[in-house]
Amino acid sequence: MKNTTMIAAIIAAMFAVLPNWAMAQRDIERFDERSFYDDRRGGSWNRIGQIVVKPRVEREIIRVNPREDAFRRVGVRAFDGDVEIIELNMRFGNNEVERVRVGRIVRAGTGLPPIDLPGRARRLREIEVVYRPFGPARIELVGREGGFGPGPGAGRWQELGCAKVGFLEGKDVIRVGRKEGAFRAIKLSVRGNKLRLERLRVVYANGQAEDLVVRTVIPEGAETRPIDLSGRHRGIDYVELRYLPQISFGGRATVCLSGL
Amino acid sequence: MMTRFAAVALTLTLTTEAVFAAPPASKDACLEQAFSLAEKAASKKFDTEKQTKIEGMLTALETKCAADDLAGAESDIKAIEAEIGG
Repeated sequence: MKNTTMIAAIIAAMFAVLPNWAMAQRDIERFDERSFYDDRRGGSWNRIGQIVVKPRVEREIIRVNPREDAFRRVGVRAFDGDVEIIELNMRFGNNEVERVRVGRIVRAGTGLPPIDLPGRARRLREIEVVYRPFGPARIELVGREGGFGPGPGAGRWQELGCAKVGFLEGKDVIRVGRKEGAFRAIKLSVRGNKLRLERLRVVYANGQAEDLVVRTVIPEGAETRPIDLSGRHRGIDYVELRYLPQISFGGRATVCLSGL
Repeated sequence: MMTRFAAVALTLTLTTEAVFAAPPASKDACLEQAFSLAEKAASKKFDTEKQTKIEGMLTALETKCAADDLAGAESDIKAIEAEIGG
């Protein structure tokens, strides 16, 4: 009786463990890591941070250096031991949080397939990693910059906003803010009338501002050349236009801002 | 000594005049010059009639600049400068 009970208990334990084990095996990443992380086309992988795993299920937050560029993809790698990544909670520059359920075991020396961030390249504020360890291990988070815009459309100009510019004010603002993304260049297109543009003030998502002296006439239906922003990719809060009010009436110009 | 000063002054005068008399070097330079003239005109606070006249001249200049008609733009620049005055 005693033996029967013990056998039944062993069988029950096996049934309880086997499905999880099988699932874990299925979820182990078998992709060719080099094809992702060593691919240098369209950007490079930067180390965001590292977690030394603790002996029980943990959640740990990695704060992203605000000087880091915006990222288009995030990767997770494990070293010195296996670890199950349960989920990642990514908080972006605008405080939006993206929850990515992972539920995969990452073997030591391998990584998860890169996770594409929604929208265009985005500035990350922090990443919370929820994990389950199997022993001592390290988790490394990497981000891939570059490739502005959504993956397939990377490198395309995107219209960020338009404004009808007035006659008397000599100043107007095009807000970008919530149109999340990071840009390395901007340009303006004008329709309805010409614009005598004196300068631009680009206010970035982090509050820094950049003044760009233009002093030119943008004819009706034309656009400026690309204006490079300092740094590589930057989130834009708004762009202030300073222009010469029209000497005489000729209709209002509509100015549209595009980012690359 | 005086002859040398006179020669330098004459050279400078001729060079400066030549630079300013030349047509704009490029479409961008032309549009930039048009902007400067518009700025100068705006600072003068002319009456509406004169504003309208200058605006028309500036528009013609800007059209030539945009069309890369730099030689044509040169004469427009001179005319606008004369209209605006010192």
